[in-house]
Amino acid sequence: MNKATDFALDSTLGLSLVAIFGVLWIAFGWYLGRKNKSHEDFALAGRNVGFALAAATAMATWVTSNTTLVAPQLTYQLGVWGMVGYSFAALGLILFAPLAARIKHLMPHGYTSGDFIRLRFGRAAWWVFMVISVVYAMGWLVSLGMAGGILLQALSGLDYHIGMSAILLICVGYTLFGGLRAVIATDFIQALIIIVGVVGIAWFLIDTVSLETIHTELSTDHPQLLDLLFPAAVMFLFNNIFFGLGEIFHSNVWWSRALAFKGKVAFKAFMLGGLLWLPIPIVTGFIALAAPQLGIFPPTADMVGPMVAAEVLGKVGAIVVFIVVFSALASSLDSLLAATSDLVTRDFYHKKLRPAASDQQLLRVNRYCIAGLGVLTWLLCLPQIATLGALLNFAGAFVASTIFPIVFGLYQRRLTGGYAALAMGAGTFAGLVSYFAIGFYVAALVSCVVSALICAVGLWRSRTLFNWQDMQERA
Amino acid sequence: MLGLTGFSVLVTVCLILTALAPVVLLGLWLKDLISKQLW
Repeated sequence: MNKATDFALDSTLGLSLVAIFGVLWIAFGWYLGRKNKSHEDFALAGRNVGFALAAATAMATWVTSNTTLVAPQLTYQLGVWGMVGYSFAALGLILFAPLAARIKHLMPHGYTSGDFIRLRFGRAAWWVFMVISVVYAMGWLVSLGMAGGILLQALSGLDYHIGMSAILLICVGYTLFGGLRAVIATDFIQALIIIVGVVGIAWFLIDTVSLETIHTELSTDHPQLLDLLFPAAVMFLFNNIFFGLGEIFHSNVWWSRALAFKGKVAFKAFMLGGLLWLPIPIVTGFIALAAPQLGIFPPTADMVGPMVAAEVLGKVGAIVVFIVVFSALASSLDSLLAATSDLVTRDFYHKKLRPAASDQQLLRVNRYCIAGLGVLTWLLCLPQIATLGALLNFAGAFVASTIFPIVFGLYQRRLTGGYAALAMGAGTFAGLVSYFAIGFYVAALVSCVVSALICAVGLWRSRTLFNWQDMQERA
Repeated sequence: MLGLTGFSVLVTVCLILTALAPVVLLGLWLKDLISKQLW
């Protein structure tokens, strides 16, 4: 049995890598941030992001620590369906493409997903939606912060708290300086690093162990991992589709991008981003299937990917994994910090507390929010409370309830705010009950179905028609 | 159960598609850069 310490980087090397990337990202963020003159520049990159950067940021943001750590974990636990099921989360990006175009058309001056819910459904639905958004955003932020600490600890032996603090500090730093412009530009570079690293690891794995050897080992000793009728895994596949849809459809991470992309770029950027993302979890998941062959039995399942890579490639593998997961973490952490701070600044500060706030005040508050969110995330990450997968799937109960209220809200004039609020609230409750009563692999599914049924009743009973002109709110 | 052929095809095709992604992204970036459409 291999232990993490067998292939760990020297902790000085680990810290040096973090320091080098940290300085580079923060300097780059500062350089890009010089162009930010207004709150719109800072929060939405001037609403002028071109196709290449738009597609890359869509893909890179969706490649998170979960794709590089949890996809191998789920493959290790659920077999082939684990990686295929995870890759189906690409549907979230692909199906968001037409929604993004619709969002840009309906609210060309909008800032956040909260703007849409407030204008389309009113106060009650807005409150329910904000609770869901905040729970999800904090869950994802904590999941990413924890992943950073786990990664550094596993690969360099560095204390969990030091690694987690370093990654948070770097991401807060460059997001604070550069806003969404820095987030998107770094995403492009991080996307390239992630893909090249993942492909390199998988290539060397096949070259070293061979697909045939891995398959033979699995067939003999772990046939359930190749089983196409593994019930829990099939449930996971469908659950993950709805989870992915819910995550993307509701989150301001994606809405702010839809609003920031120039002209008609939104549709094709999300479509291409989704198609580029689709095969990645299968490649990262496949890496985990070599674990039994290599005699690797990780202390926690979410470390299986890094351990296999380091076993095959030695110190170089550990460095590559380190840089890939660091980039994946950063590309999502920065997006989430920026989008969540936009939500707090726009929806709470501007629309609830200070409607007369000046543009420069909003810009300043947005920066305070980024720093505050960084500190809050750091505090919540201090105790290592759950495995990454468990934390991720808990949020599924919340976000899947928003899918149908948002889709009907964008295209159907008959759904009212009362039914939208009820659908999100009851869907979340049912999802949480099923999470504890049945398992993580049904939470999103149940949440989505209950929410869909309530929306259907709402559409059937409604006698009022929403006026789309009411969405045209000026900043 | 997934056979060796299916397993190999699934992994190889996904690996090739993933490897093509940087080429696509860099090509688009170059195109946007030349036409001054990056931002």
